[in-house]
Amino acid sequence: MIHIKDLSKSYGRRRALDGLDLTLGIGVTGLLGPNGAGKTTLLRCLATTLAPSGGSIDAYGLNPANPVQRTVLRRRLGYLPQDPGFYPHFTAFDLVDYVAILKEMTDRERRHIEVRRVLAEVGLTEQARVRTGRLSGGMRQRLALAQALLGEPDLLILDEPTVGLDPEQRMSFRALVSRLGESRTVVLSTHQTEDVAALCERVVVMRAGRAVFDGTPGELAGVATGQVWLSDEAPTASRVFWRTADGRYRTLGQRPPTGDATAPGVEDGYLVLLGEEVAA
Amino acid sequence: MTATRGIGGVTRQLLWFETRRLLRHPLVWGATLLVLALQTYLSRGQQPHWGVDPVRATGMSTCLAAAVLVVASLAASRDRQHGMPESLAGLPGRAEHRTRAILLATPSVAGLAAAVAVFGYLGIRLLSGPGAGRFDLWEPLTAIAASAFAATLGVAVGRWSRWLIAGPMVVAVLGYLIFTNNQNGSAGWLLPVMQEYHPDWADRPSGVHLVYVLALAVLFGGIALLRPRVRLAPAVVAVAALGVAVPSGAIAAAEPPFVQRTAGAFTIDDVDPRVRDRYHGPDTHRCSERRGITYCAYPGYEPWIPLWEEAMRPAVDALPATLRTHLPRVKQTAWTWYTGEDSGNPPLRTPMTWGHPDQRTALATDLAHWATGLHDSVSALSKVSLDAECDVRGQARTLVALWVAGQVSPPEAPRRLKIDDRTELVYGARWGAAEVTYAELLLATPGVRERVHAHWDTLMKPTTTIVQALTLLGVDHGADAPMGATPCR
Repeated sequence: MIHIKDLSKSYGRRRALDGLDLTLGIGVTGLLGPNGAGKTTLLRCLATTLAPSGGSIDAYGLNPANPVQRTVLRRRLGYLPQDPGFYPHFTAFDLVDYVAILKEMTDRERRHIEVRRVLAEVGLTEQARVRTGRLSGGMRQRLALAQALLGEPDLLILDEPTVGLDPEQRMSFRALVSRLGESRTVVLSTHQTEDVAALCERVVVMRAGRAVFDGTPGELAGVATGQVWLSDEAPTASRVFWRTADGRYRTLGQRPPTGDATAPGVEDGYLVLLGEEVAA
Repeated sequence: MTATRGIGGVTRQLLWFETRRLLRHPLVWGATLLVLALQTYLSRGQQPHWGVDPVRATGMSTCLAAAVLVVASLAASRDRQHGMPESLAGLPGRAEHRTRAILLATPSVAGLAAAVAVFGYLGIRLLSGPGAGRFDLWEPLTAIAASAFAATLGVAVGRWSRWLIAGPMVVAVLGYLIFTNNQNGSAGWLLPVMQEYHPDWADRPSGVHLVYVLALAVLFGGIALLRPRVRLAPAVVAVAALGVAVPSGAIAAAEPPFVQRTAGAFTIDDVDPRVRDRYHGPDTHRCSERRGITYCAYPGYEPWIPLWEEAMRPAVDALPATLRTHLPRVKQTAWTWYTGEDSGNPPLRTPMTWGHPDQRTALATDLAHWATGLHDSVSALSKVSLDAECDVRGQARTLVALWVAGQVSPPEAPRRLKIDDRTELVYGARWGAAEVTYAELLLATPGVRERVHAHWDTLMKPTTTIVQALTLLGVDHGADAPMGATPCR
């Protein structure tokens, strides 16, 4: 279990995290929130790449503020940053192998088996000997995911992992992550509410460095119950509406004059929750 | 997956990883091949000299060291490039592991590449003919140490500088220092390699210079390890290395590689004391006789005696038999320290290197001038001017001298002959195009040798003209050859 207590992080006068409390267990947890909500900062603190300004993290009984315990924790986590790095002259295999060494996998033969395994997991076996500089954006994102999967970490931290993936790759990714979530803690941040709805047992919505919602995707959708409407004419009173594929208008908030109630989704709940901020 | 953990294990695996990458690096091996090819090309035709070739190969390995420095700096700064810091920050393997691995891998591969370049070159030299001079093992080892030094310097630059251009900039600065201080002045030996060294210079302090270069390598290795945080062990290593580098560098630089000749008359007192006994003491030469000629070489140069003999043989054979019985000895001369000795009984001189065509020409010309009596009329030491004071145009003996020397190399107008890297020889006699043309005519005419021998005494008189000589020798001539304005004795 991972216990986050009163976690705060400031960049100068701006507070990216503001007294966040969160407990994470086995399963897939999705972080949603607008830009600047503190999702990436939270994930970086969890990944031990950023020291918080205040509060504490207790991950499997380890305190990342302690250098020795931090190293032990790093052995148990896999991290896909928002902007993963690639050495353009390394092959895909070499890059993952390099990271594997830095994950202290020092038995060469077993390490290479592991490297081949994670490359196969993300569908890059054929590209193992291709230089990363020649891989497409989607392939590179999968390669970054592969290095995060090395060593079957107990804690998998994925910051916007589906960026750059095509629909087929996203389906594969969802299958992979949901399978991983059966036995370990997976935390991912995303702007894709469909991913959250499809993958996560739990959703945390963040705003201004705080968790404003913590529940299941169904519960998040439920926030919008009675506030989602379909109408034939563009509503004038609502600030959040859009024209759907069948030509009708989907509206959040007050019922439009000709509106029919409809079942809310995760995205509706998210939009209702963040309200004015999203509408703006 | 269960991983075998341990700091040493990570460093060891990173070391193998980095070594494998470096062993495949095109810049390292491209530079190695370039050094090998350039050095082989530049020494083409020259006989191996085991005292000079290793120093020059070490100097040439500067190109390889430059490549290594850039590669090492790029490898060391790699973790801060391409958006990798965030990816690497969450891993248990730390920057110290990466620095340590690169610091072990780059000097190893650089040393291997330098060994291939230098020992490969020396191997090629070994196959290219008999060598002379004394081999100093410290010299090629200095090439290896210099490449290792470039590697650790590159790692230090990569670790301490944020800019990728820093490595190439350090190469440019070091290159400038090396090429502007490559000779004369003791500061030259503070540089990691020597660009210039000559066979008659004093011995280099090669052992202490090697220690100095190794200490520099360790010093910069320690400096590299002080990033990202200062720790005691690398700091102690760096200070200790500095403690070795300063005195060894001071000793290496205490004496200049070469004492410049003073202007004016050059006497025995002007000879570098370190080599005075070697070149002017008793029993400086080892002499042996081959086919009636005595050849005197400095110790270690005896393998070249057959080459001198072979170069002279056609010119010797062109002389009358009576002359061949009392030919002067051939004596190796260190031109840098030549004080005009043996002027009363001048020998034929051969230099400290061998193989350049001009050296064969000079030896044959020396013989021809001696045989024809022109030897007294020439001053055969490094003159800068071609305005000879002695005009031997129009004389029959000039023609015969050109014909004798022409047995070895085609007759040509007077010019500076390159007899070693620092010495050019200008004969103090002047002849012209007519003499060259008639000498070529003689060389192309069958039966001339017997007629030259038959009329030798007449031909040798300074008053005998070329026209008279051509008539005596039965060679048709279309033009006259005027006598020189300043006839020689």
